Amino acid sequence: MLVPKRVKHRKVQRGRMKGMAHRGSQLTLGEFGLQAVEPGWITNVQIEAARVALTRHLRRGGKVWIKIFPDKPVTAKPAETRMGSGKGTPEYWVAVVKPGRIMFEVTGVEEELAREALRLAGHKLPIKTKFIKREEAGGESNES
Amino acid sequence: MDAVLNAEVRSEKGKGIAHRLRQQGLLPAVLYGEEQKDLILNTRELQKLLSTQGSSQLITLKVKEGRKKQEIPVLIKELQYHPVKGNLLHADLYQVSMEQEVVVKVPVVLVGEEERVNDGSVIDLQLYEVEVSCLPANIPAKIEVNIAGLTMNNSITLADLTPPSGVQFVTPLSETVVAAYAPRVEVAEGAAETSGETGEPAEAQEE
Repeated sequence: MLVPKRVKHRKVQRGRMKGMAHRGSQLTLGEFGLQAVEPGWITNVQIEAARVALTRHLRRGGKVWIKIFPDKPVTAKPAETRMGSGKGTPEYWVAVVKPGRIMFEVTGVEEELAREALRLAGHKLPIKTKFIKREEAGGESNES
Repeated sequence: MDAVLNAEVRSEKGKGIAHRLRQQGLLPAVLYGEEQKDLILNTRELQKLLSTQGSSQLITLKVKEGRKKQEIPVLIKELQYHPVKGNLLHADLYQVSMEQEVVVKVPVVLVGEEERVNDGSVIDLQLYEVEVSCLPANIPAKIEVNIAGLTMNNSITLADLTPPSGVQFVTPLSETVVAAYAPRVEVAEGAAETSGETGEPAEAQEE
């Protein structure tokens, strides 16, 4: 599972997710991709589940890139604890995703196979996603 | 130089006018190079041009400024798309001199897939665009890469390709354009690819 090796700060503030992903919103390595349509926190467990669904459907062949990394720690207080006594302990890691962000890229397979594999991977994520493919001439085509 | 694009000079600047133009099916654009101008393009006309000849070809820009009409050879320097919707937001056009060499990105197209003997390998196109230097009139529409003889665990680098006459590659020749690799072996259930994972949330350690 994806986890940072070392961090500067153990606990961070939650932050806001306004606006859109202006970086990481174009296909760079692959021919097909899975793009976020909503903002959200994607946990490392969800990324792993999506990766497993993707590679399992692609079986042999194809190449997969994970374009997001869960580098934000999320803390939680134990159940039935009174408020106060400081911030909780880090529980899991998330990647902050904004609309437009390409989360997975795939190449080396037919479009239909990539579309189905990315659809299955998208179901493992807590946000709405869409399939995206590289066009030969001009920009990328966006399809829901 | 077949591609023609009509443009009108724009006097207003800022996001307000840009937003209004986009609502009308028009596209705010800028022209730079020898002359600097703010322009208005027709979005559908530009999209049609992009789908037929791509974004690296020379275009004749017919600029209308009041009664004055001008024809300028331009290249598309940058296109801005909406991150989610994917529609065009803005275009940067660069005025070129026909005597000076320019550096442009040309798409790579694979050919010979039908003649290739299927050995079960996966074809991985690694370089989607090649940077070339040439005169504006000689810009190739595409760089064709013949993969008919490509076998498993072999690759074609840019050094293996011959550029069209009057064209030089700017991208390093050592770059791999396309590779054929053996397909991954199916991973047994439960055995994940990544090694050394614990499956538990790791403790964050401060530096």
